[in-house]
Amino acid sequence: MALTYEEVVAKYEPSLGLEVHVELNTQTKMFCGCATEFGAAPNTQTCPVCLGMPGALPVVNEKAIESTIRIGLALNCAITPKSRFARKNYFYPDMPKNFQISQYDEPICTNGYLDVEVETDEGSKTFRIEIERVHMEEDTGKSLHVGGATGRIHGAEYSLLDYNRAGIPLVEIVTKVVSGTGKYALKLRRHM
Amino acid sequence: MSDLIKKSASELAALIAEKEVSSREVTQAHLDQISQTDSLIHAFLHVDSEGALTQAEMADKNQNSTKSPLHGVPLALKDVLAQKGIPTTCGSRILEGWRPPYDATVVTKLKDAGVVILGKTNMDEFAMGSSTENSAYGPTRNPWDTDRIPGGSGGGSAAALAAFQAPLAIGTDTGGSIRQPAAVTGTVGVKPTYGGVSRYGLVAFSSSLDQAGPCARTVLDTALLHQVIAGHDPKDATSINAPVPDVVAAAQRADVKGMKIGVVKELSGEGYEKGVAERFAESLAILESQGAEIIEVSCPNFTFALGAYYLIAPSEASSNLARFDAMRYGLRIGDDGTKSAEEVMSFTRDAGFGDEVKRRIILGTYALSAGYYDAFYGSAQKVRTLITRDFAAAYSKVDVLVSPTTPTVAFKIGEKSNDPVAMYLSDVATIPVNLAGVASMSLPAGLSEGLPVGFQIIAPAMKDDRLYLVGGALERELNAKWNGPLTHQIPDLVLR
Amino acid sequence: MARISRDEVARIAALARITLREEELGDLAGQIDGILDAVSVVQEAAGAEVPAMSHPLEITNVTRPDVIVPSLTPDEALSGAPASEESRFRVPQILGEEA
Repeated sequence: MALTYEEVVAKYEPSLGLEVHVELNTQTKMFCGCATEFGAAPNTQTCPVCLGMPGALPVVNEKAIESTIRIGLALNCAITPKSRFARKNYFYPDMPKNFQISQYDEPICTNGYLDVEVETDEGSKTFRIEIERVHMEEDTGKSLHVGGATGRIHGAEYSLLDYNRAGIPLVEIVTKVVSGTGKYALKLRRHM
Repeated sequence: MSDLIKKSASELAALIAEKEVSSREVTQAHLDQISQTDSLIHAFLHVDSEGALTQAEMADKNQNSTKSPLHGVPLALKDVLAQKGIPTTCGSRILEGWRPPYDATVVTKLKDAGVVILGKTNMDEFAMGSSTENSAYGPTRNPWDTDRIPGGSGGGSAAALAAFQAPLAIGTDTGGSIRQPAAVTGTVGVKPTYGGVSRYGLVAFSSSLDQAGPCARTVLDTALLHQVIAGHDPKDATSINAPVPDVVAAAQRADVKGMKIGVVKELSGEGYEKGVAERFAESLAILESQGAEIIEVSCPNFTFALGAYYLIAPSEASSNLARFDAMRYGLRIGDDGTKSAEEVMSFTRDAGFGDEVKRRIILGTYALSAGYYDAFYGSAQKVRTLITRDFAAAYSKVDVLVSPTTPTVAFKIGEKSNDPVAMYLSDVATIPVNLAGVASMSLPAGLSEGLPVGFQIIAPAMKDDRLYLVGGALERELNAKWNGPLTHQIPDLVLR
Repeated sequence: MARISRDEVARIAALARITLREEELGDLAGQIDGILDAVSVVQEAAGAEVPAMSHPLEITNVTRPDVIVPSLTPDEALSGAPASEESRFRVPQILGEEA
């Protein structure tokens, strides 16, 4: 018989991990020299590279690498001496090359932690969030879904794509499973 | 005026520099030759007469501006390179009519050198093929025998040279697509060291293997063009950050005295047509008579090269060609308001890609898919290491390696188009080169039953100049034997 | 024994977003089978200790400075678009989930 939410919470200890995507505030995109300024008119910050045009090639932003390493160090990670980009192949209109340049086997930062202090019923307590990995990838374009009732993808007639955001540097921070947080999970998340 | 088209690029450049003839006259002469012969040969997909004449006039006006040894000389550009505002189709329906908003770095360098681009040449679709029969726009015919293929994937560029439609051409080579067409058309083609020429603007087929390279009718012309297009490009992260080897000086020196030339046992004529093997042996004898030492070497892992290539290239292609999805450029079909984006993508890709491209995309997707990645793509990448080691071991004993470029002379149009594996065998001697990223040249070694045979030279990475030392020496002796370049023996075209 | 069936080819074609027609499916399965036979020799070539090579010439740390370079104009960016509206690329309704 199915349990109610209260029964589940009483019986089970949640074990959750987080995947956090952080947009870096570099001047230019991850793999090309287009500006990253927010709020520009559609498709005014694009080029053959971030549009995935035939023949275009990526060259990585040195500031993005530096920032990612700094984030990794702040999270007490090991910085890997040899890191590699990999292509995540799937089709979606907001991803011009239909692959995302990301990291798979050899992420730039691994095995870190973040100690977070939270007020509990027993006083101040320190939770250690373990970080699995920190890696670099590129953001996708922005879709505007037109014609549906809610403006969201479901029921839309067609979509309009703005690729200004495509290629902006993203850092993905992946935590290991954090257990034992119970009712403090929300407070913890806010601190992070 | 018609003998302008028979001249080499360096001869034309000298005449232009001395103001004995203008770039406009030279360009017009070649445009006329294209008009007269291309309904038969079909080397070109797009002829930019107006643009070419404008470029030529600029070249005439600004004679001293480029200080380039090819200033004002016309050239044919393989349609896989982006030329701003000019249709760039890669031989595919899916890019029919696409005009890039940017120039490939190679194109920028050509324009900066005052070279006049006549138009875009035919090719196997997305550079996949060995005969130019996979072009969505119809095959190109070999000027030596118009019932035969001009090679592929760069058959258009090679045929344009052999038909005297252009004295220079740019090709690209992933598994032999410059060298094999050069061999079967009696012209010269070079695949530079991987990273030697920028790939920015070269529509990617197999990113770790693709290279753009110079093509011409003489070794010296090829060297001059090589010098123009090679060099570091910050827009291509795989381009080599080092000076271009002095290929022009090497082509002029053309001296093999004291050089050690290795004949690769696994590529040395077994299973090759008799005439091909004979021309190869004669060329070796010539090089020996010129002071080179011929040594046999073995590269045992070369037998796995074809297999590794036909896993690596399709795998990379399946990813590179994913961008052709009807959303941002190119063909879109089926968008009648009732179909989803996914459906429109899938219908368009089925209609827009030809059979060979679909074959390779499926093969590549399969090889990269979960469960098969290690066995196929992973194993192929290990073979790459072994082949690179074989080359390194060979180069510890010799300065260059040599082989026949391709096992047969030009075959007939339609002869192999139904047997993919038979077609793939055309590249058996050229493929190991791309896997290891080393440099290679094909130049004419003679005729077999009236059809050209190519001699392949392979130099270590970044030692491209050695190709021109050996090629120049061989060419000089052979031209002396033939009383002129081989291309002067091409039968007159019977224009239908 | 065939390595790759018609169904498998159809499944992979779907992954690659290519809708193959019936007659293509039959031909392709056979051809790809033939090719796989020819290439699977690579599995015996190298032992576990041989490293994989993705790029023949070792180049490391090639980067570009974080300096803005002029972009294309929207007209240039959209110049090849099959459909566009208000400076955006117009695409048919997207059914799949956003990743």
